[in-house]
Amino acid sequence: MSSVRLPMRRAAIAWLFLAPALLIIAAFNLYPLAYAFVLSFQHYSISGTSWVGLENYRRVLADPIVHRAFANTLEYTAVVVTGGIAISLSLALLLHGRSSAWQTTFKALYYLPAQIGAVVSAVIWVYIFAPVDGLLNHILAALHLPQPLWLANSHTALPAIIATALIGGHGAAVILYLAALSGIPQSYYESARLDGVGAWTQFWRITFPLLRPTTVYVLIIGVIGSFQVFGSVYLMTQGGPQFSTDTVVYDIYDAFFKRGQVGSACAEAFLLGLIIVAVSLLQYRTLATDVEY
Amino acid sequence: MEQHRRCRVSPSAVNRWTVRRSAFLRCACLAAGSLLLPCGCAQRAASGPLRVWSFNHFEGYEGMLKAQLAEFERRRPGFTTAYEIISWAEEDDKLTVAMASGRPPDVLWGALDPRWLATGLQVPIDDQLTAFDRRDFYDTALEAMRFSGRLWGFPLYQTLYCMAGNAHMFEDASVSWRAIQSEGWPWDRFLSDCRALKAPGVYPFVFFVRPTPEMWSWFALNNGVVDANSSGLRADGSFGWNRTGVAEALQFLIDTFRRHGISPPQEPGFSDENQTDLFFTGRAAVSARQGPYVLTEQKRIARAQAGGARLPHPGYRAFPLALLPFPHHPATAQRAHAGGGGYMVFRQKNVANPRRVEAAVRLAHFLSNTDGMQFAAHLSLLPSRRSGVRRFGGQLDLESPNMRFFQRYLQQSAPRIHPPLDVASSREARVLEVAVTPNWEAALAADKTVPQAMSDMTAGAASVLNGT
Repeated sequence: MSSVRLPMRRAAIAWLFLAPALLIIAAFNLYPLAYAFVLSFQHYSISGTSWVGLENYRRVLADPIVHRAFANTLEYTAVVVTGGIAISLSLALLLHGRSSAWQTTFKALYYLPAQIGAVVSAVIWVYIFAPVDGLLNHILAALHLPQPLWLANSHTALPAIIATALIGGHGAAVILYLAALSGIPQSYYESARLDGVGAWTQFWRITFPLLRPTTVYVLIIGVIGSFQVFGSVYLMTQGGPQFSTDTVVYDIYDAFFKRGQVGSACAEAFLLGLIIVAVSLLQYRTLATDVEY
Repeated sequence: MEQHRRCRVSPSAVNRWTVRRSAFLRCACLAAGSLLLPCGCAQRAASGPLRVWSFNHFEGYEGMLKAQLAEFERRRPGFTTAYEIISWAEEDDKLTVAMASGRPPDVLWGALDPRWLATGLQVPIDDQLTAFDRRDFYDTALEAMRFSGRLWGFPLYQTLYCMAGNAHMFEDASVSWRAIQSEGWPWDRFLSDCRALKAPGVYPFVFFVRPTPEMWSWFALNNGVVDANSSGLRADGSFGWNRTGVAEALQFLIDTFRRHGISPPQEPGFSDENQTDLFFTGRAAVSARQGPYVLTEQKRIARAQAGGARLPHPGYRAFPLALLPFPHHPATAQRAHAGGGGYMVFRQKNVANPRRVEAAVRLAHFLSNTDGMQFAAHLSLLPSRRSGVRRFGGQLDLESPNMRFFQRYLQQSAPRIHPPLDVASSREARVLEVAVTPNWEAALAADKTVPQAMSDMTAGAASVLNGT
């Protein structure tokens, strides 16, 4: 069928309805994006701007603190995404096959942390990790165990932040996995059982491959989100101690607001964007598959 | 329906171009609109009411400011004002955005910040002081608003950083806080007093490590390092912390918890809130750092305990306070770090409106007149004007031991060190962030020895200052 073209009047009405959304997107997404791209090639100050070409990119790529931020972000992403998938899949498998009431209750419980704002959640964690009156150290003291300075020690600060991400925030993935699990025909498992296949093999040969589209989705969304981790770092450690929790987005914020390096902050943001797009495309191309059952 | 659509729309290339051109024009309009939007805001910012930004300093501050602004409007018909109370948490971000966009408030309460000076939008007020002002303002108050020989705001108060002690604990341990106030606190006496202050469940001395290494700077200052500021920079912009006095100060602080056991072993993790919590819940005898404003906080806690207000934190309790000096090396003189703040005036970028700037200067001047000194009195700080001291001296109880100590300690202030503006406005923060803070944290956490931390800090500072 040939493409349908709307008459001018109908097109005008369509544009009219689209205009508010387009205006908002143009003003708050496209314009800042384009302006930030321009700024990434400029030295910006209130008294004036000057073109510096690729200098901001060169400076960002040579900065050892930015290297540290990228390394921390990669570590955070690798652990949080893979750990998150393992945890949410395990929880979904535990719930799958239970009664509807059980599933609803636990889905709500797992989803609850997502409804608590990141700020509230981070503040609660700060109290849990507090050096003297913190809940965690109270428990460790009662058990006569050493009480680390969770957020003040360069060896424990990043693991502590990773732990906060791993403990909460799997609700959405659990719900997705549960939906995908209920879509796998039971006949596959019945045939496998008749052939004497064990539960472990059933999981690796039937369940996991058929969950691949969901896993790819959770993986890509998880990687994009984890690369942009900011709230917990900002509220819990401010990138310290000794840059051990400095992440790329926190470093961008720091460059812009604390150091006033507007051009470098924009350059770092575009480099991060480029990496996220590249990693997401790579994941999609290597892992995506059409599954029919 | 499909047929109807087909017959109404021509598939010709000309019509396609018409539709595309139309879409292009609409997009162009949207883009132009989004570009013009900030211009409209700019016009409003330049012609609307005079904008005052301040912070929620104490209960009743907003009412006080409101009354002052109403009085200004009454005296200066034709000018209206609008104020905004911003939170301490958003201070930096909000001001950065306002300054970067060239739309700062007309009048801002705050301490002098070289970053804002570097924008070129801050208005010097040297010529705006009347003969009365010149006689009335204290030199130390004016000094706090001075940079590169020029005055950048009307001072409102004089303050300093000090330590605070729980007077009850001192008396129980037979340690005379009055003697410390009058004679100073050499390191050796400080350590012996702290040993005497040890009690079950009580740490003699708590200080904060995060978010800034300022404690290090106060101890270095009291170990003879008087020619570098709290970021370690000298007036010529060079790094001035690569020396023994700074290393000794760091070692002294580390020894308080690692060797002498007078501070909690968790010190390397302590934030400002952590140490204040320990102090006001009665689990620490001496808290660093505080300022004279802690006396107002103590009154607030006492009112809350009496049922008149909400406790700032569960478990806080009121007790008699003693303001105390920072300990100093026995061979060097005791030094205080004085400061101050007030109202500063800004113009809008690319907007020539001298009448508005003049009105903003008048407003800032008005807010810091003798009546405005009630701000200082509320916060237990010294007014910046002699007339303010006369007016509010009774409320401040200037003859009390704490206020007498405050006035004496203020006289022992070290000269303020300002690196050149290009260093102070950009590289100073980077030196602090890249060189000083990480090595301070590393030394306290025992990730580095003091010599290693000093060496790495010096190398890091050189790298930032030399642009390598």
